Amino acid sequence: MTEEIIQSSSETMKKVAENIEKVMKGQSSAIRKLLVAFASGGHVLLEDFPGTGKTTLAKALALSINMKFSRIQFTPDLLPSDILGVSVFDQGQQSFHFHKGPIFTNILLSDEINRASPRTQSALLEAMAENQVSIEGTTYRFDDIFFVIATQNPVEFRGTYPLPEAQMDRFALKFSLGYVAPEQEVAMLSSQEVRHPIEDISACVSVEDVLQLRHNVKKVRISDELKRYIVDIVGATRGAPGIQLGASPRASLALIKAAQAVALLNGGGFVVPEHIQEIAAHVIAHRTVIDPQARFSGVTAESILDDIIKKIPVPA
Amino acid sequence: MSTPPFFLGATLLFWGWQAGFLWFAVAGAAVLEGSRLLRLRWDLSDTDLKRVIYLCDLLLIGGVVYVFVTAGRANLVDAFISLFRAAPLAILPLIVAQAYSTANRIDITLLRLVVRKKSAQKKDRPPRLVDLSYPYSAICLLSASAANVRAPWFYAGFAVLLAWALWAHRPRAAGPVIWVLLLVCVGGLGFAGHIGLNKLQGVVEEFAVAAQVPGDAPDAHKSKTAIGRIGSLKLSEKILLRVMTGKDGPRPPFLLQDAGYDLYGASTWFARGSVFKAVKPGQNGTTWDLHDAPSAKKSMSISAYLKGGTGVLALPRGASQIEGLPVREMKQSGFGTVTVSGGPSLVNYMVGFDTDVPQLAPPQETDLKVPLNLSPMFAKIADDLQLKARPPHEAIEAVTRYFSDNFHYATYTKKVEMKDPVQDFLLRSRSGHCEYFATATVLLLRAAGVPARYVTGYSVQEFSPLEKTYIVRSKHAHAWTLAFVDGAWRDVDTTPSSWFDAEKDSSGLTAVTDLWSWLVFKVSGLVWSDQKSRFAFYFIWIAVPALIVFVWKLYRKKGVFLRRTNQREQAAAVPQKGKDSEFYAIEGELARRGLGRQKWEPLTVWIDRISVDTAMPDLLRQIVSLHYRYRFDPDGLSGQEREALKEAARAWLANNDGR
Amino acid sequence: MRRLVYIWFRAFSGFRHRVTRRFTPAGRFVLAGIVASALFGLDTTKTTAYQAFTCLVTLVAAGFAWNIFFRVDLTALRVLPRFGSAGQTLSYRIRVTNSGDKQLQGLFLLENLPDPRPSFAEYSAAGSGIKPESRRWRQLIEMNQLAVADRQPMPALMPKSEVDVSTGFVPLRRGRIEFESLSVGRADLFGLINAYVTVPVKQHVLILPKRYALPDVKLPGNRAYQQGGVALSTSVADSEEFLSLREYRPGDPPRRIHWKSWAKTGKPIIKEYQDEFFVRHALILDTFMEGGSGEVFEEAISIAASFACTVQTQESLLDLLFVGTEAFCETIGRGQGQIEHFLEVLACVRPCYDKAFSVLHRHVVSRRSVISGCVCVLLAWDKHRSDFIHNLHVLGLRPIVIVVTDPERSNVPALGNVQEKPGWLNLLETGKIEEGLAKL
Repeated sequence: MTEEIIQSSSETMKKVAENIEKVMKGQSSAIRKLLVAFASGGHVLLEDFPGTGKTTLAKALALSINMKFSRIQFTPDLLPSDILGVSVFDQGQQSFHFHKGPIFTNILLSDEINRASPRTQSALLEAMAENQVSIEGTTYRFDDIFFVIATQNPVEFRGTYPLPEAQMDRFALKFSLGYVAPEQEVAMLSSQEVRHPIEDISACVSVEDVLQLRHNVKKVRISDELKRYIVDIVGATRGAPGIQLGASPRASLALIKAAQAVALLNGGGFVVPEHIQEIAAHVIAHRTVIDPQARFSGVTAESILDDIIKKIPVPA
Repeated sequence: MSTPPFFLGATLLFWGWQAGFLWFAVAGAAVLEGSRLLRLRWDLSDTDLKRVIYLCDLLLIGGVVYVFVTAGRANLVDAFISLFRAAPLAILPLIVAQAYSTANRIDITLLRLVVRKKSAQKKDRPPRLVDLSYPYSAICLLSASAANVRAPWFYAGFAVLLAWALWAHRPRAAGPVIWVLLLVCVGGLGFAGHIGLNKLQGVVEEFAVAAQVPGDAPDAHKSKTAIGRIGSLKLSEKILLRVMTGKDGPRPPFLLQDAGYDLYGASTWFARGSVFKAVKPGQNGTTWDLHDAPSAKKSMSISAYLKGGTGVLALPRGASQIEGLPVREMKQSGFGTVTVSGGPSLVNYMVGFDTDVPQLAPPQETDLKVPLNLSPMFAKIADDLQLKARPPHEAIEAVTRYFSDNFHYATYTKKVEMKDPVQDFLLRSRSGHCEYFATATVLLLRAAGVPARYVTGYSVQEFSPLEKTYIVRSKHAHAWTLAFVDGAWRDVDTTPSSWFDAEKDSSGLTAVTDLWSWLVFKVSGLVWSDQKSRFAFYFIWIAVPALIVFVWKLYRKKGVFLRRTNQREQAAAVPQKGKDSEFYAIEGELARRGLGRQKWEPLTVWIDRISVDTAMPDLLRQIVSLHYRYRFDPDGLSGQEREALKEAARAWLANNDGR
Repeated sequence: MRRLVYIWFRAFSGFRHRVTRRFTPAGRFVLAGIVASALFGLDTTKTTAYQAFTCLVTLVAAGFAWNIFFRVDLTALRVLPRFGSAGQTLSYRIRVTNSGDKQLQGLFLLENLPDPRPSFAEYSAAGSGIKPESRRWRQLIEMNQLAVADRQPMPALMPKSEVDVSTGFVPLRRGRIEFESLSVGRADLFGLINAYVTVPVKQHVLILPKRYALPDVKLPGNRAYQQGGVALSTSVADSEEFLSLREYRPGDPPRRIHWKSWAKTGKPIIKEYQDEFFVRHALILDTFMEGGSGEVFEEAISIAASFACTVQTQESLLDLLFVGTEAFCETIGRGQGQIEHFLEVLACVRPCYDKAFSVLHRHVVSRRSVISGCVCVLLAWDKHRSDFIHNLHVLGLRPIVIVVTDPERSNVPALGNVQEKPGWLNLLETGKIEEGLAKL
């Protein structure tokens, strides 16, 4: 991969980031992670308090790339057919027509995914895994670019169905937006005085650029030593105290791809240890299951990952 | 906490040197440090450890038995200190067991299980593994101090061992130079301090001597008599002295003096007229010459107990040389009183004496003084017996006859009718114990113009078939007169000679107590014996068989050879590219300055952290990016870039060497 | 007389604490050596131990002198987790910032926890039931002492930089640990005496109660219709279970149309749902402690916490009923996250002294209609409580009753003969709770 290709892909990502930044001020780190997940071809799980701008973020991303965007609000009475689509009987023609559900889109925002019943959750998650939907014998494929941003509300616990651990693997990254610094919040208030900035967003890169970007991410070089480092980190979660179920090899795959995306975002053609350490916790933490007893001692998956990273000597 | 290598052996050798058990210490140290060379270890179970602890208990209890048995006679503290000299030997088996065990630790909860066997075994008590090397070293040092070697070597050895231990465990942050300086200061101050302490004790002791309370032993300065006491004078059968005379020795009954007095008042005799002078010891510290020209025609050996190592010696008339007496100092007065201090609680000394040359202070004014209230009575009696007219030895004979004809011996006083008990004795009752006779004789002779002194001591009469020596009991304590006749002082005993018959006690119990007393004497002799080898001899007879049994049991267990674990560098499963990068030199330089990188910190994060303290951080970052390409880019560096990396690294190092 | 004993205990505990703080393990060994050599060397003529004594005393004095000039310029902040659990290690990090110009090496950190020694009032109020005074003292200290902290070595710190130190300790009981300050210490040149500088950092953390492992307990009760119970979120529609197909009625939402049936029959057919049936259990906690021992109360809390964690709440709800300043009802179910909330509530429960047991009795009876089954954890077994359980039986509930007993003082006056106790009544002794629970 030549230097120009690297630079062009890096430019693509930077342009999108700046564009989104216009709307979401003070969230540069979250925007970086979002783009990393997007470029590496994985999906994102956002766990955040209500009102921090999750929908705005997804919309801004979609608008920056000029792609289709749809949003599903999950409720306890949501049916799988509400997501995937339903075969409607047309009485006039005496035949069934398949009306595609909101999942047939490029960027999908699934709000409060833990509110729906497990049956509905698995419908979405299976579709994410397969990139296609089978209804009554017919298979409908998604577009090339299919990116899901699922959100969870950590505060409401009543009436929620937490995502099953085995399905958490579907999400490449999990992170949160959080509240911004006071200066940023003031700036946000000022910017939204007349109209919402999202209405002024326009596309800055094309779909081809994005496809090229995804292709280039896979070409980023990574040395064997760093692959071993990644495997060591993931392997350490399998025996760490306080973890009941460690991360699977799927985590290692996701981490490599994410590290490559980070390298490309920084304008480099190869991965260095800093890239790995930057997103390791976000890639691995949600795939582990904490021992319930340990959880009540205040241990979180992120803290265990932090300890693991501090224990393993980094290649230098 | 474990001791540094060879520390334990060195401490043991130091103890052996100071306490006189050097060969034992050499053997012990060889065994202990040999564990370093001979890499053979045993996995000692709890039962094995308990057996070792039993052995140590046996040795310790043996020592405690000595202490208990001798407690009645000798000073308990002295005996304990003397025994503590050998304590490391008793605990040596346990330390050897630890050194040769795989764990190199001892579970100290086991120590309790042995001492209190009755307590129910608490299974949930977790084993507390402790390395006993330091406690054992402390015991060795305390034992070395118990040996009481008064040279500065003890302090030097102690300080050196202490410094060694402190050096091994000093905190990493301490600079060595200032550490050594401070330690030397401490050593010096400590040395000054202990000399000061010693002097302080001397001062305190002198202060206390003035307020001395008279105890069982005779007081060299005054003798409170039992004159005037009503009732029976109870004297015990307790054996105080054991006397062995040669073939040409005096026949019983003969007298041994311990103290002489010259002034009488209020039923008490005082030694006023004479000063105590120190006696210089001979070459070996145990021979004492009481006179400038000692003449020892005959000799006898006396065994006596010295309470607290201090006391007055019982000596025959004419004693001029004493051998075999390991005391710190000896003083004698002109009255023939010899006091010693700083000795063991049981002494066995040889007295060389010549009865023809009794050297005592010549008579003085006080030797003729009669108390004013008694003076008229004595003058009258002297007149009655016409003592003044006669020559001295005739006067003495007359006095002796006077008493033996008209008086009789009694330990029972009915009542005292007259004002002064001596008066009552002389004029009315005409019966009393030896102190009456002696007091009356002295005063009467003085009234007759013969200088006389009052002497206390013992009358040796009884020969013990069991012990084959003369034994002197407490009831054989006697008082008599010393009269100056024909230019020499002579013993005059006016107590009716039947007095010892009167004192004969035919209680069957006496035989039993005498046997017990003999046993204790024999055992005390072992404890206080000058020859350490005798003590060691008994120790070997207990310890060696037990050790043989133990080693045999251990031989049946399989030993485990320690394999020297080769810490080979684990060959990296993944080849590490670019390990010859010049950047590592920079990393080393920064680490030396204390800015080292934590092992999990990636390079750019580290550089950002220390950028405040380093020069040319931007150059450093450039070097890092080149270094990263060298290491982690599968495409690697071009030749040009490789050179650039080398140059940049060299430049940075050159620039930063000075700082 | 009691006052003297109290003063002695207090002084001795304080002395021991200060010695342990001030002297390193090597320092304590040297201190023991000083005492031994002093005893041995009292008579300086008999042994030479007094020389060892002066040497060691000078050493210790030099150590103290070295420490006089210890100063550091530091700030610290603890990064504490949300909570910890009694009996399990609480790990956290302390971020230490060196605001001075010197490089700091060889330091360690030590948490200053509040003084656990009881006041004289507490000591005399503890009752005279416990015979050896020292045991009573130790029990009171254990009651007050939430944690014991250890020294934590700190890596070298450059000037104007910060470092994270990982540390932790095991909290001993539930409650709120108030950290007052942090001490930064350093051993002297010989490694015997510690010097300290105290950095005031006030923070707190909640410690959840200790939990026991429970066997698989089948709580009694049937699935019954619970109106509005599911999700407890009245803002969102009820979850529904498919019941049957029926004909369309005007007003039915179109999304419920079953298209296949329409195709077959030619008429719109609706899928019918019903509200969920599930079970709702009650965990009743007795907080009325009339002069009982604190340990009984703590064990009752632990048992309640164990039940809360073990009972599977995916398909049922669990109500915690207890009386504090008022009658409380905390509900969890349908989601893991709420167990932490439950435990946080339990961590702060205090005994209720001013109300009578009948308040709890009424509170439970008022909720009878929604309870399928219940577990009662009681602190004693007297007439009030036995009446209460009898009442529950009469109302049709079959409660599992657990009474926590104190082996030292009897709190089961209404029991009578132990052999004849009914099967649903379980007596658990403090100190043997785990075994007792295994037998349930």
